[in-house]
Amino acid sequence: MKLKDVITVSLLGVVGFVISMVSGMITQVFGTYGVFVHVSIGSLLCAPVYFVMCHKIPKRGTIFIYYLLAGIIYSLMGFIPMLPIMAVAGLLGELCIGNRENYMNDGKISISYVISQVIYALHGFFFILFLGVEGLTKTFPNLFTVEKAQMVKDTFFNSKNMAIILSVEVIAAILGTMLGKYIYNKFFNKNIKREGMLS
Amino acid sequence: MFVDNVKRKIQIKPISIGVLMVIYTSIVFFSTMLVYWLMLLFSFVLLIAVKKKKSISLFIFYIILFGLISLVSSKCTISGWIGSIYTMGLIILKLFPLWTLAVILSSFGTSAIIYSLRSLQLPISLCIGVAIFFRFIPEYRAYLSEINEGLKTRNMGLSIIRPIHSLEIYLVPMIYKAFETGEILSCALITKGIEYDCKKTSYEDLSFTWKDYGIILVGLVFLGITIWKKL
Amino acid sequence: MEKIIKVDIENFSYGGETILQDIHFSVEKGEFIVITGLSGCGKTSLLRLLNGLIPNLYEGNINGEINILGKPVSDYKKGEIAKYVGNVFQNPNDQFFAKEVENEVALIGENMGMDRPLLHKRVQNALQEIGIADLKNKKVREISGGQKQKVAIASTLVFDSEIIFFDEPSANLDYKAINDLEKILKYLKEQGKTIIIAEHRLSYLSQLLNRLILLKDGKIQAIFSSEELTADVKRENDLRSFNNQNLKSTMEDPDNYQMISIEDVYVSNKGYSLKEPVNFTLNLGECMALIGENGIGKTTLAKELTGLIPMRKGKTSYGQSTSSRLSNVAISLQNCSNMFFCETVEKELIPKDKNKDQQYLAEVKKYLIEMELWDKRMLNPHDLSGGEKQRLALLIAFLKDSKFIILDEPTAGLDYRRMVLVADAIKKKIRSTPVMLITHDIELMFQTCNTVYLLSKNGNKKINVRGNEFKILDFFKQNKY
Repeated sequence: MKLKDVITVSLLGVVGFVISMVSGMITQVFGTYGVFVHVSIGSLLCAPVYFVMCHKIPKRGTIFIYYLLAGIIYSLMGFIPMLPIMAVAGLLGELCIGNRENYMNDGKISISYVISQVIYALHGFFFILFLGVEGLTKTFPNLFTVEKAQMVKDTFFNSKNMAIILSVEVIAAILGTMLGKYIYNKFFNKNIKREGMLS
Repeated sequence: MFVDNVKRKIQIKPISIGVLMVIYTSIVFFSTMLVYWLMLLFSFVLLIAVKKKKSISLFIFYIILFGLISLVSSKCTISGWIGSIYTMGLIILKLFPLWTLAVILSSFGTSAIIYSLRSLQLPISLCIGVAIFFRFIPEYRAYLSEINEGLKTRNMGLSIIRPIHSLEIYLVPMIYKAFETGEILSCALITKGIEYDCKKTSYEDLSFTWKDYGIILVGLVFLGITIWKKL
Repeated sequence: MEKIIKVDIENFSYGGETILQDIHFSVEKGEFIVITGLSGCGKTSLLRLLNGLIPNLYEGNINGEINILGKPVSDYKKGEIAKYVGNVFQNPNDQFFAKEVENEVALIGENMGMDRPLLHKRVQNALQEIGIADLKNKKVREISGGQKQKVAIASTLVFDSEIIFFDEPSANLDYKAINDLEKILKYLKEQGKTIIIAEHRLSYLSQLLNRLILLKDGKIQAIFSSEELTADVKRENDLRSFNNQNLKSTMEDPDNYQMISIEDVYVSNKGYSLKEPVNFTLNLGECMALIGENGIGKTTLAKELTGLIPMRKGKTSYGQSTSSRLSNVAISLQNCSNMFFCETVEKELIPKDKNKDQQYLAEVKKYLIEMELWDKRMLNPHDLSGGEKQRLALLIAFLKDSKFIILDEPTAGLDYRRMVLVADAIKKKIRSTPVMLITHDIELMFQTCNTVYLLSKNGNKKINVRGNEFKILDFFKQNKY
């Protein structure tokens, strides 16, 4: 990758980040439920950025840097555990693309996107798990009792809800890839012959 | 005129805040009330030292959030929707010491951050990427409002009936902007010799002083207390 | 004299298309060279070859050689040339990497591994030399376009580079900032710097330049010395005026039929406000320029009148609410890219409900041809060049069904021929809809405006352009009347 590619990927990362922030603000009203929905909305909305990026910068490392940078930014914002998660997401994304020539292959881009985003989305779980609702009772014994902790756990960490959250994410990512492909072709793909209204 | 104190008399270095952040991260999940309050207090002291104004608004935010949480805790039954928001609020409170550090980190100049990352042996391209994030996030926020303005002049806007169109009108200009900025910035950086192979220097003095060692020491003490309490 | 730059390009092509051909010239130490020509003539490519961005960043096949300081550009180590050659680009905002002025100026020294004490000294000196020492702690985002350009120039002084390249440095500047730029360039020339500028606007350079290289279709058409820059040369080559001081207005007076009235509108936004309110009327056939110093509130006023921001007080004849103003005013914004949302130029101009309206379609076609955008109609608007985007934004404003049109700097960075296209289109449009034109482009103003509104801290006034040319130029210089 050339310097220019890195710079452009970073700027696209900024775009993705800004979109996630905006969607994050919207999902804030959902409280802890929001943690799960948040990433799914992000997966849906950021897919066009990912598609355009792969098509315009079809080089080894593009995807990895895209995710890794987000990971570093999360770390600097205080979420250091995000760094390894994002690194893994980026690596798998690159692997799914496979061959160098496939950066322009919509099918491969889609697979890579869904896989990476699902790993990214898991950070929500990791986060809550890591934190351990139990940890809350320790820090705030007056505000968060063991019973409350148990209740919150029951709400979120049962296999049914986990499955729902995961499938929501997968569906969001798949819809995202469709949206990404659509927007890329409509606005960025120069090889498409367009029908004009004037002659 | 706005003067950034951190940058002028750079007192605390990004790296020491970074180290403290790692320590905080590793203990924040297990910390007892005592350590939590100590961490919170310490990060606020640091924030006051570098960004007084910001520390006031952050403090007010904390007090309000804490008050609300206490209120909900005493007045409402914690379940369902309220429970969910309540838990979220608690998590924010819990991570507050970390976020205060993040606020401090974000007040450093781009070059201080980039040089610090470089001294951690991170590849130059990643350092540039991170610096770009810091530099351009506010730029893109401003750009979003410019897009809004452009939409108004065209009598366009968000519409629930056309969700895809609503997304397009924001997303497409931003993506194009990224490519355009990428090109201009690359020209500027290349002609300013960013790719020149030599030992790079820093405009800011980033060598450690007793203050930095002090900060790390305090962090280690917090770590010590947490481990000792666990045992 | 020492030949500091030597250019011998047989041929430069990109994607099978020849962009430059038979470019041979050399530059002596301390010389001041201006490269000009219509958009697309190859100036930018030539500059990119000189500063090494081709082939470092942009691709292309070059047949030939460029020597800088006695060494082929290709022989320099990666990035090394930054020590000897400084660059100032057109876009003032996105070329900065650091958040603060001081750090941005220091960046080149950091990249080159300059020791900190020396770097500090050099940065302070550079800021002082350019006269922006008071800006050093400012955020680059918060300073004006002219100040940004000064920051970019200051950074070339950190390494005391002998050679400085400028790519259309005046494109985004106002009149006063261009004057300042002229002074700085004069200073740099006196310091013995070798300067090469690619530029359309020539009036601020004509006294400074040693040679003007005129490119046409990728070839050197002619090289003029400063003394040879006559009115004939300007006319024959479609160049911008060499001297703004003796331009005369060519516009007729407007009709007596009043179309628009603005009463007691206060310029105010985000804590800023101008003391005196704005009052004016516009008649049929009238194009009124709005001028005033940078930051006085021209764009703010335009946004108030358009309904983009609410008005604190005052009345407009075409609508009291922001939404009614928004629907009755057509505007082309200064940052015109912010107005493009469709996939093609064509769709940008033809709304869905008009795509069967033959009369409308014919009008769009006529406009596209007039503005030299016909061949680009199937491109995405964001893929157009800067000048093309400006013309598209103008068309969007012209095609909107409106009572009043506001154009904010529609010709910044346009070459003479395209500026005339825009001027002619405006002159035609005012026969049906009055136009308010915010501009620093004096040539455009004298060709299209019959009246001018002077906005200043000690009061506002509307005067005729014809007969007041000197007064207007004076106002640009003094910012008061």
